[in-house]
Amino acid sequence: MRFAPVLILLITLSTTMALQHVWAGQNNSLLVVTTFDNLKYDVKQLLAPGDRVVSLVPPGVDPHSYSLRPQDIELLEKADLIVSTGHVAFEKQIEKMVKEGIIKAELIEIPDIPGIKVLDNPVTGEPNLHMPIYDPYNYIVFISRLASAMASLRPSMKDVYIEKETQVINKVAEIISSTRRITGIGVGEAPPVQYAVEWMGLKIKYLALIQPGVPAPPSLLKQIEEQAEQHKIEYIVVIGNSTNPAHKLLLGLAEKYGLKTIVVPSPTSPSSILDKLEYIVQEINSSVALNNSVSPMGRRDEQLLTSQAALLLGLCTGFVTAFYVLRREEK
Amino acid sequence: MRLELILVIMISVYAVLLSITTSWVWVAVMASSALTLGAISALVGARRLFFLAGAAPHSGLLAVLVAIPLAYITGYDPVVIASLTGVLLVYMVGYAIHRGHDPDVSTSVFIAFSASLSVILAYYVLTNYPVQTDISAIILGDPLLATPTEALFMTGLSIVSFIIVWTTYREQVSIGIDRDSARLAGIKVWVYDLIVFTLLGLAAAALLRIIGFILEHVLILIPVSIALTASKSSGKAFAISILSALTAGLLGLNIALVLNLPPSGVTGAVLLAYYLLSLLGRGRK
Repeated sequence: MRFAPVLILLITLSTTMALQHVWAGQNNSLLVVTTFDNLKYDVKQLLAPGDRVVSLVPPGVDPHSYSLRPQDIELLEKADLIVSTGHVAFEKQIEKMVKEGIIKAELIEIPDIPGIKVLDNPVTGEPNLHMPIYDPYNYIVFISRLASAMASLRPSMKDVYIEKETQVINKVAEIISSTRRITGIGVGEAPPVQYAVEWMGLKIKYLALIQPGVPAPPSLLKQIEEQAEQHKIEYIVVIGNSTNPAHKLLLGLAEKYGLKTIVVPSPTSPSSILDKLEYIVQEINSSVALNNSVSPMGRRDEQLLTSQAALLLGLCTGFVTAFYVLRREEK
Repeated sequence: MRLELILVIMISVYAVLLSITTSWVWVAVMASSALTLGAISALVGARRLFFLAGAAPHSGLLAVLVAIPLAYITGYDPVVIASLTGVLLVYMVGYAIHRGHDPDVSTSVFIAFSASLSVILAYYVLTNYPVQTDISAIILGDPLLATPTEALFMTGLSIVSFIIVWTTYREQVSIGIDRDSARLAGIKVWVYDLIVFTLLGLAAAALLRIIGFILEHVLILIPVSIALTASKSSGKAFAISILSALTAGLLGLNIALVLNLPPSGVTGAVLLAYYLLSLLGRGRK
């Protein structure tokens, strides 16, 4: 009888473990891990009861500079589905770990989803991988792919996923059909704005930040100002609440030359793409939002001579400075 | 007419012409950063604080990284917080030097401290704060994205820095030559120490976000290297330091626009060319 308490404890423990195992098998809810925080809100729209979504990058933190932490690896190992934009360093690390079998979850990389249209960066000519799902057509493709992945991972909730997918897609379709078309040439603050506005007909020809943290080269910044002065650029598209110097620069140009300004929510702000698109459409459809004052046309032709004269004077100054450096000192 | 005066007139006319053809903000940013750091560079040469000058951009980087979460929490202007932090950090080394510690050893310890803390803070800020911060932008700098307000701030800072250096330069040279003799001659050494450390810390932190870590290093260290190689008198060293920095800043901007290159890099290349020329000149002499 001395062993009775130990025996009871062992039986209780083993029964609990067995029950937990059975419960886990029956309640196969999904754990979805998103790399960027904002993607969490897009996934949330499709979740079935019991499903969970968490993001690796904390809210508001710039994902481009993020490094994986040990707890992130633990989370990724538990995940059923990982949603990634597939372009920043830590996402490439995740891709590698999935390929090597270290992480068992299914990985969805947005640029690789069949049907996603990746635009070329207007300055570099390279594929623009910065949030392609900001384009509503791409968003529909993304939501469909996400819903089908979730349905295949948890077939018992297939109907729920499909119903929610249909609801989201219908809302996006309504946004597309109700949006006023805009034509013209625009300059954007950073690569993601290309997806946010080009689907409406506007062409982003220049970017003030050609990549995150990489400002446009000097000649391009000069060209942007010249084109703005001559009204060859009609729109300035900036990211809301941006603290980047490029943001202030573009707003300054818009004010100086009377260009129309479109403010799009930051792609990484804490809301779904659907909410962000609704905001943009509201802004576009209300003509009040677009300041449309006209400023006088520019005069630039005669400036070529002045700039050549400036360079010549600069070189002369350079030579005189060199002479001064080389000159023997008078005693 | 003295050659210095001719050069000042040429640089002024060049700056005006360049403002007309490009943007007055760009010209103001490049010229004022060159004037501020060129003047500080002369001061560094006078006081033989090259190692500390090399460390100043490190303190600036740390100050900017400290300012990001503090500005987020307190709501104060990050430039003000960074400037104050930058000055306090340089004061730490300054105090050690003032107390008689070897300047090179004190600075080495400071670089190790600031570099390590910068890495930790950069990681902490990037992974925990809802602030869109781009470390690469701080390193590379984006002088062409500066706003008119920033340009005016930098112009003000450059005028103040130039006047302070100009009016105290003679005493700084005396202290640099022989600290004890300067003290015996009645110079309040601690006041001049304070001026050097304040200017170094303030300029390094306040200008870092606009002109970047690399251009800061270049503009603090190379003008004085040219000056010391090419001149025999402290007066000419002062003039060369400022005039070479100003010419390189403006010419760097102009060449960068023509060749479509980053102005920070081209400015560095122009200054390096002057340094090589000064070496050539010394060989000739």
